[in-house]
Amino acid sequence: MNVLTKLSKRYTAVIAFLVLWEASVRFEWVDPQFIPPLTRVLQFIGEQGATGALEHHLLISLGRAAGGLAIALIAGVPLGIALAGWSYKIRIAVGPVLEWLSHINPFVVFHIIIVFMGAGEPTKVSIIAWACIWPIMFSTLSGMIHADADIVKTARSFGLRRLRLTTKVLLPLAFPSILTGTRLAAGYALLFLIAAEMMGSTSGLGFMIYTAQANYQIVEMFSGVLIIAVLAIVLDGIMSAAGKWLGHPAIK
Amino acid sequence: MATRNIPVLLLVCLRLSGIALLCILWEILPRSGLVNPTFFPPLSAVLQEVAALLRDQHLLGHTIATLWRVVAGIVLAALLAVPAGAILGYWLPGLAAGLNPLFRILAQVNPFSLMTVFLLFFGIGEKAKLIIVAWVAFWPLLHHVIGGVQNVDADLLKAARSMGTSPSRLFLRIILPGAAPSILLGVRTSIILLLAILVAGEMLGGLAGLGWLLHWSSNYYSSPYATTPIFAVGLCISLIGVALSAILRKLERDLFFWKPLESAWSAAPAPRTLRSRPNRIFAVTVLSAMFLLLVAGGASTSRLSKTNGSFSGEGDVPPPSASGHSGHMSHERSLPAAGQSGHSGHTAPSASPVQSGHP
Repeated sequence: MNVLTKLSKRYTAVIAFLVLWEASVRFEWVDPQFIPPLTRVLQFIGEQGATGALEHHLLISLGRAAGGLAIALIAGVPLGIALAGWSYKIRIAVGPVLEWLSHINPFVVFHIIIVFMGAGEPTKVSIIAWACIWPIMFSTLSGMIHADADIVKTARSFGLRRLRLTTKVLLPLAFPSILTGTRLAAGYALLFLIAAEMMGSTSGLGFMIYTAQANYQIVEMFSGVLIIAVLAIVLDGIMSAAGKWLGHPAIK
Repeated sequence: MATRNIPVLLLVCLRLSGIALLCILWEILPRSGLVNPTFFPPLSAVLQEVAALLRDQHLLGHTIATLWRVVAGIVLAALLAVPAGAILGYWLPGLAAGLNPLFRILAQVNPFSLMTVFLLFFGIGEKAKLIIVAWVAFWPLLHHVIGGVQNVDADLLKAARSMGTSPSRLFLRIILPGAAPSILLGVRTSIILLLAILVAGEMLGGLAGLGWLLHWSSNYYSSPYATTPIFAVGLCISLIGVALSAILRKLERDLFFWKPLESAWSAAPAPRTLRSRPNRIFAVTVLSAMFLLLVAGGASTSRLSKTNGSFSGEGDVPPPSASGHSGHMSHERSLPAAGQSGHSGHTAPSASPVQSGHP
């Protein structure tokens, strides 16, 4: 009961917003040609879901986002650990370079990568990975560096060496920070995924929205927007749940 | 870690060494043929291209256009987010907690996907672009403002209230200064995202700006190195990002001198200079530069997108049917041009040469 009231309380605003959306269109406070009623959008999602056309786009988009995020995690976390492990002088030298690289726009990278790899699947995945790697790397680095000095000293005095110190002490300590970076990166992944699919692609949710825009299919467009927003929230929820589940109980 | 024992000169050298190494590698690798120089031009060629773009393609004007949009977008977002966040965070904390899930959902709504709706409501042109950009910046900023307002020192608030401060004074003198570090941090995080999205928006459909220039120049290979213009414009975009975040970080250091800065690169806090007053000179300079940019940049941008709505040498661009990519783009380009003529009748003649560029 307690959980139920908490949940309903938490999502009151969302429900109110959805009701407002439906009502404002039904009573023609806004032009229904510009903004379709929520029920029609949901109906459209239901119909398309039944035929399987929607799942096709959804799965492709999800695959790209997940692939990009996975590559960013696999590359970003070890890079962050390596940076934290190197001496301070090397970090000073590498710092400006990485900072500059992190400011390179994923879409500029897109234009360059397209020359090397063509407009295929790897291109899209790699720009998402490019966008995601920086928050993950910087948060890993900062989590490792700002780990509680007393704990690290205690571990050292117990004779933990580099490898075990990193895996047993520093990584668990940095975990909340890494998780924050990953959540941020997941948001970026969806944002840049849609833009990338709108720019050059023939499948995926971004492409669906793009064709809907070009053909003025407002309902289809809004259903794409709704699906992406729900997807983002679900992804974020999964990640925060995973963080609670995986995180060390001592660090809260 | 012997952090503070490094002399300043060595520190500067170390800082520059990474960048210098990168530049040398960038120059040597393509020249030696390890990387295909047609695709990956050496640095010197890129710099020459930057100079050529400055000369022939109004690179400066496009840079100002992009900067103007960034500044106008962030100012718009801040004007909306700071009062809203302060009211929600201080006077209506219950409502803020209740609205939080909704805000999270709205923040995930991609402005590109709603482009058509924005266009319908705000018209085609600068306004719709600003709304998109402000939308992107608004949500992270609002999040930071609410957090900042709620973390203002409770003792200060209590003291001010017990002395009978009026709500408006409380807001201006206590809440806003207390939340300012968090607000500036929010501006710094959202301005980077804003720049990325703005460039993409300019690529998808626009009449001026660095993203537009990049998209056009990538279709218009002119120099011996095919991708040089992309690298040149990309370099400019990334340098804008670096400069913006450096300026904001300096502002943070100057204005909030009492706050120990957390550097991502070292565990030791930055050496604290003994100062009792915030250094306002730089802040004032930045503000006046922003103001100048808003006024002069707006005029220059509108002129650029009206008179120079075409890449010179546009005739060399293959006709839309030649490849799928350019066809897709010419569709995007004809959209704003057609809209402009519909928007105000007298600009119709200026829009027609743009369309005639695609036989």
